Amino acid sequence: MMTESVQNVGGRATRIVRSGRGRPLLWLHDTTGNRWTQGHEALVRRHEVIAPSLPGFDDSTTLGQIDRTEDVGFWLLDLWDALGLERPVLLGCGLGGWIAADFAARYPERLGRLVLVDAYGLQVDGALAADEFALTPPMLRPLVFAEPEASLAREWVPDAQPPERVESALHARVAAARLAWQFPYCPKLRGRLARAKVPALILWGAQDRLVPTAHAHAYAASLPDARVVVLPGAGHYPWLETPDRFAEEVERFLG
Amino acid sequence: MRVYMFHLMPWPHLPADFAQTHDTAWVVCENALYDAERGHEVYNRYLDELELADQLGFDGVCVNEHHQNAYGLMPSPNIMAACLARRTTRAKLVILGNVLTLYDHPLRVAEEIAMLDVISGGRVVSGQVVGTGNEFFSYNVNPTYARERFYEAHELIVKAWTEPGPFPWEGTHYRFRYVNVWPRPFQKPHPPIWIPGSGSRETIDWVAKKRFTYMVLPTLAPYALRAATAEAFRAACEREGYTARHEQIGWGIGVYVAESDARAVQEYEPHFWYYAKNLLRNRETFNSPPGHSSVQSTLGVLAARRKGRPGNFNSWEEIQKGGFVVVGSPATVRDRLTEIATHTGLGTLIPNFSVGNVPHHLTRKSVELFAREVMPHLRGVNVDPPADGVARAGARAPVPA
Repeated sequence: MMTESVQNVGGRATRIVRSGRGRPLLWLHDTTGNRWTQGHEALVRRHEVIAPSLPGFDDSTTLGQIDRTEDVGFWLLDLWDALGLERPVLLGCGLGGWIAADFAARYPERLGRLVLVDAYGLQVDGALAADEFALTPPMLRPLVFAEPEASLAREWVPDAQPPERVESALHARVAAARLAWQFPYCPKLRGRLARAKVPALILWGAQDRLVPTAHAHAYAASLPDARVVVLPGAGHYPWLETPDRFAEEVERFLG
Repeated sequence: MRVYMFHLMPWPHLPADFAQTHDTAWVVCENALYDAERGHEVYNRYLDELELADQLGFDGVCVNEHHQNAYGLMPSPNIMAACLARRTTRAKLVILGNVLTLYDHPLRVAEEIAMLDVISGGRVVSGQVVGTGNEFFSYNVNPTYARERFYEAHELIVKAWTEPGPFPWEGTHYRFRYVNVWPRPFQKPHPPIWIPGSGSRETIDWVAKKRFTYMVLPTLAPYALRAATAEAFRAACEREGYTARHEQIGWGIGVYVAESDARAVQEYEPHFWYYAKNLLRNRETFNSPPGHSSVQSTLGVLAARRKGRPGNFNSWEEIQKGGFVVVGSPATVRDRLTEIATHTGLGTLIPNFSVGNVPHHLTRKSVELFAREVMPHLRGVNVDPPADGVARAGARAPVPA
């Protein structure tokens, strides 16, 4: 059963959604914010999925001095304390993947496994991620969905947000831009990844044209123990477009 | 009322099918469309027009700052003001404004404005702006810090002008061990400050508190929305415990004068559409990057837009009826501007004569007619009593506490 609570994490009110039983799996969301998806649901059979809202995403006025992944890393340390986490699986999507990779390079001993999904974070020559803040929804959909005309694509990247989501979408966008404006990577991260001594799975949508698959291979080449799985039929959000296949690969990796 | 001629310095040579082939005149509008030989003519022609305004007795001339676009060709308004400083003698040089947020060295703005003020013998007005959303894309400045950077840069610049240096500045976005600006401004305590605003409540309240001049909705907007914004500013001044001076209400608007109403519309309209259809053409994403306005302010603007501002206009009747511009014979323009002034209390009129790709000879004719047959009649409208016992052009800011 899914539960939602607001907990104090290092002085920051943090909305946390959880469901499932088993090994804890901490899910760090992408720039669209903390929304429970079919991908989350597909993992709850064997894991306790814990999905916190990243700082500022539910209310951008609380961002304060958060402006780089390192700052989010300190908040994650607080989250570890608040939830009593011991070597959970850390799964990060997009922006959350960048935060997860940065955290893994600094605190590998705190992780059981690492899963990066279409992650930002690396500077890859000739493969600069597209500028998600410059593109209108109709321009963005073909870059982030394998099937840009499907109703799923229009639901997640609508031309205009439905009234009940206008405000929350604005907050998420501000929080996302704070960390990922124009160059959603840290040039130093790649050199630091050798320290991330934890088994890692790099999952990527074959048709991700926002963050090209060259980034998946760059992650795999830089991490000490990583394998890449490219998912056909998916773009930047494989957990939305191919949730069963996505969950299957995650489960296989986690054993 | 005082009258300051504004120039946008648009690129007038976009291809005829621009609106069909481009979704924006900004940020990614390819600079292959720029031609430097034509550009040489364009810059010098536009500067001639501002120099003409000085000769014709306008109270000031205005330049502004935009980057990487066809809409306005002044990435450095201070260079334009420098060109004008030595070629004009009476007019105020209004930089409307410097985009403070773009610079990691706001001291450069403090220095350049002080230089211009000293060279011109105290003719500078320092406009200061957050910048359009586009500029944050073009200059890679994080828009979620737009407001913070603007306010901090503003405070730093004013302090650099008014307090003896050297002193340290330890801010959130700017740190300088040694703030010690040479030269110091000619005007004391510092040049007047004008703030163009897009109608957001937070800017209105701040400008009212500072007692600066607020320029109402500088881009194309219907009269009703402008009047409501001016009213909101006056109300904010009342909340601050004073009545706004006329000169504190700035009114930037497209103006065109010809021999008759019919002729004015006939001459102006095609060039207006070049401006509205090509130069204003933009992606919503470039206009409104995340955090450029607060979420609350953005929600307010979205609501207001649903009510008031038409997204697309296609007929001259809509433009005329909405009062977006003031176009006509000298008598028509005179009457309309007087009517607007009477209703809104504006004392700082900022007409823009050179819309879109209007040719030089028409701009010149319009400016001359305006200066001869309209401007004298506006002089007596909305005249402020002298401040501090001395009559002056432009709002002078008090020294901030």
